[in-house]
Amino acid sequence: MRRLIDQDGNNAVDESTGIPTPREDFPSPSGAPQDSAPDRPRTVEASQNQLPDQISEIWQRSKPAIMGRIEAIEAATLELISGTLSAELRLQAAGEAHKLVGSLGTFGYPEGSRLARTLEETLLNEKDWTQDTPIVLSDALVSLRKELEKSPRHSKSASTSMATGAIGKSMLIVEDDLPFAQALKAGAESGGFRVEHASDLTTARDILARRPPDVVLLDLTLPGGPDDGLVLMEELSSTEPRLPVFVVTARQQFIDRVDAASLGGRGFFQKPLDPAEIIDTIVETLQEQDTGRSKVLAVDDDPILLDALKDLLQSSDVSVMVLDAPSKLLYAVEEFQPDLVMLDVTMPAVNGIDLCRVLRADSRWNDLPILFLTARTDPETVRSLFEAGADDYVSKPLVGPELVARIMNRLDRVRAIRSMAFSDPVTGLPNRVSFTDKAKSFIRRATSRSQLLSIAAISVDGIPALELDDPEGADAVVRRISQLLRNSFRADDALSHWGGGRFVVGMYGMSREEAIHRVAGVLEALRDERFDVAGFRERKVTFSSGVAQFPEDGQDLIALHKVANRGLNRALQSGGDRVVSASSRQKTRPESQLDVLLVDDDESLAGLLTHALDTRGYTSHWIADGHVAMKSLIGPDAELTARIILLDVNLPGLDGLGLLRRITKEPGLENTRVIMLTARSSEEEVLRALDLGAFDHVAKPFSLQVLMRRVRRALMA
Amino acid sequence: MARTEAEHMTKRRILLVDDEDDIREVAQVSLQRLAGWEVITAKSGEECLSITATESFDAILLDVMMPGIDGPSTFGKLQSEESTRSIPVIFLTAKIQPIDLERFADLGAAGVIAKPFDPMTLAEEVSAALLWE
Repeated sequence: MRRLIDQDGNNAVDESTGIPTPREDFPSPSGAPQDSAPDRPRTVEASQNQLPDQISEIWQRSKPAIMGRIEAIEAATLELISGTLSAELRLQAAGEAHKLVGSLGTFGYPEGSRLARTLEETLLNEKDWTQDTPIVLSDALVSLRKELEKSPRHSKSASTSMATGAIGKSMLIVEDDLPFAQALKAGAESGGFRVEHASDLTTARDILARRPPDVVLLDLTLPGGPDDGLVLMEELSSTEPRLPVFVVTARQQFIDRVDAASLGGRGFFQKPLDPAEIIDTIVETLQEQDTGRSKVLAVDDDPILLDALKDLLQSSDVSVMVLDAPSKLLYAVEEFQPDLVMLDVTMPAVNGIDLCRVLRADSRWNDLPILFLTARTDPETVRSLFEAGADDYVSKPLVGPELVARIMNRLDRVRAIRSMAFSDPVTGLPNRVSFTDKAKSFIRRATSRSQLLSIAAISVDGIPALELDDPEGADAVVRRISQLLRNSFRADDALSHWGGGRFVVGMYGMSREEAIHRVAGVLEALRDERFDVAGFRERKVTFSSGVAQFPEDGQDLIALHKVANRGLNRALQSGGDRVVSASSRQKTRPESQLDVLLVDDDESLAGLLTHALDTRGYTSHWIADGHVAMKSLIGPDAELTARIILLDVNLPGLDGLGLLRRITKEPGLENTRVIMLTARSSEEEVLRALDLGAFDHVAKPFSLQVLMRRVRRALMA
Repeated sequence: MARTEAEHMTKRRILLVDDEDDIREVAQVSLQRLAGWEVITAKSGEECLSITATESFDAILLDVMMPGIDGPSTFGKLQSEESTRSIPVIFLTAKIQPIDLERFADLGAAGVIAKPFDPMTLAEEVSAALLWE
């Protein structure tokens, strides 16, 4: 290989790769022109690789000045604590913080910029200061110092952001908070999305009608209340069921995540949250959901060819990622996890055949189908292709139908093999192995984003016995149940079958309580199903389930599964047909402390309610007579307390509102929340109840789901 | 048939004005490396005005908060001179309140880029704001 030497007599080209090496020294501040632009795109990529190093170098030199700014803010904080902070010093410190906001993120410390903004805003808003202000400042300063000890985080460069699969997709952001919307837009665009923005639902509906996006990000805190947003979601889930909708809410709001999930919400975010994280999660979720589509990675240095390939292959079944930087191949394969790779034989910097060998050398990619594109089909070339490990080749110029056929054929075979390894044979759901992988990535994501995650272990009641008598029948029942479960859980939940009617579900972003309600909802729907199998004929099918939450119940899948199983066993021991959490709170609480006390004279209603509450693992008790209720709760013979009391307004012999008044006045019951069950026609009853201290009310006749939602809200608030 | 880098991003001449040394360096390195643009820097509004009196540029990146003449005032002066009026100016600022963004837009700036900026995408953001390539 010839060496190219520049006029200084130095090597200007890296010998092994042929990539020109960039100059080591920085241009002088007067901005002397750089090397004349080389004609190869790969130099751009080489530059992208070099840039973070150069920025690190600048960071090392700037660090003393940065630390100086932090010290100035620390000094001002000390003055504040001793009560001697002058206006001048305060504003100076705010100015230092402002500078930090503007620079830390650039050096790869976006969290640093955020902390600095907290410092700046706190220092500027003197009128909002409280006793805690010095603590707020010190905490931020400590966190800031810690943050700067970590290594910097640089965004991925353009070619690797193609791995996100967001290229070419469009996003509709429905958000009325303008700075937030702008930040979201910027994040989405740098992730490769085309973005449309609406500040209200009318505009959003308009855009949805005229230019339907591929993804929607909807803020439920729009003026008009969250219900409007939920209505829109409901509309979308029936008109556009395949359109992913991600939802944002504010921390103080009770938005029923369970409802949002059942309306098709794919992801759920709570403000305040970094817009970049929101976009990252959306991209990740979309990627994971693309598992239905096959993925092809095409590598060539000719962008026109890559475009043509993309047009040929891209469809609803195949997603194509193109890479014009061959040196990034391994990274792209790891990130994109393609089902098939297409390589060009002749590329200037790197030999396609060498790339193939490199891929095959890694045991992970042993079975990855590799297809070559080549203009040369002489026996020599063809032999070396296969020797390097290729599966097949297609000659250039490309003939559309032939290429497509060859590729689809390969992909079908890959899909079949892969599904055998990862699917459960009876139900077709992901199996234990597949679930373990998915759960690990959920846990990783939940850890890095401080999100919740719940795991439910589900066991269909009666299957083990049935399997002995009628294994085929048992399979049929399990299959049917898996269909129901699949329809009830969302695409971003991880549902799996571990055999014998044992299912495990991972629900990202859900707390234990929410997960319990979700699973219980499925159980209630299941009770209406009828099966035609011995032992199940004309009998209700039920299951038992235990739920565990990350990180409280366990930090890894094994621990979480153990806790979920504990809950499952408890459910089975209590008779099955219910969903239970294994949290120890339930063990240590005495019998007299209930979750829910129902005071209502309607026996059939009571039956329904207590069953629903049982299903969700709540302890409950029913008292039909108001006087008895009063004696049990209030006065010398009081023996019961409850977190929630469902109280009927029309109790025979005793005024429900009167009882309410007594309850809210009773010292031992301050933390008890009362939900009044009122008659639909009487608004003044409702007003009086709320005046008397009722937490909430539900008008009869009500749907069970509505009441359960209110109970949930009262427990969580 | 590879596209040349020159076609990918045409060579432009940018004036970068910021009082902070490290920001100037990072921005300059980023734009030069990733876009191949020629980047001249200035430490202050005053220096900016003196350079633009004699040299021409395709765009100016102008920090808002600077001691001495601040960004908006510098912009005002650039607008009042025939020779510099038509150079597009992009403000760099750590403020992101809508009222500030409106203010900059009303002044007639070509765009606003928020700080901290991402050095990996700065050139793209500038190009997007100025509708280049």
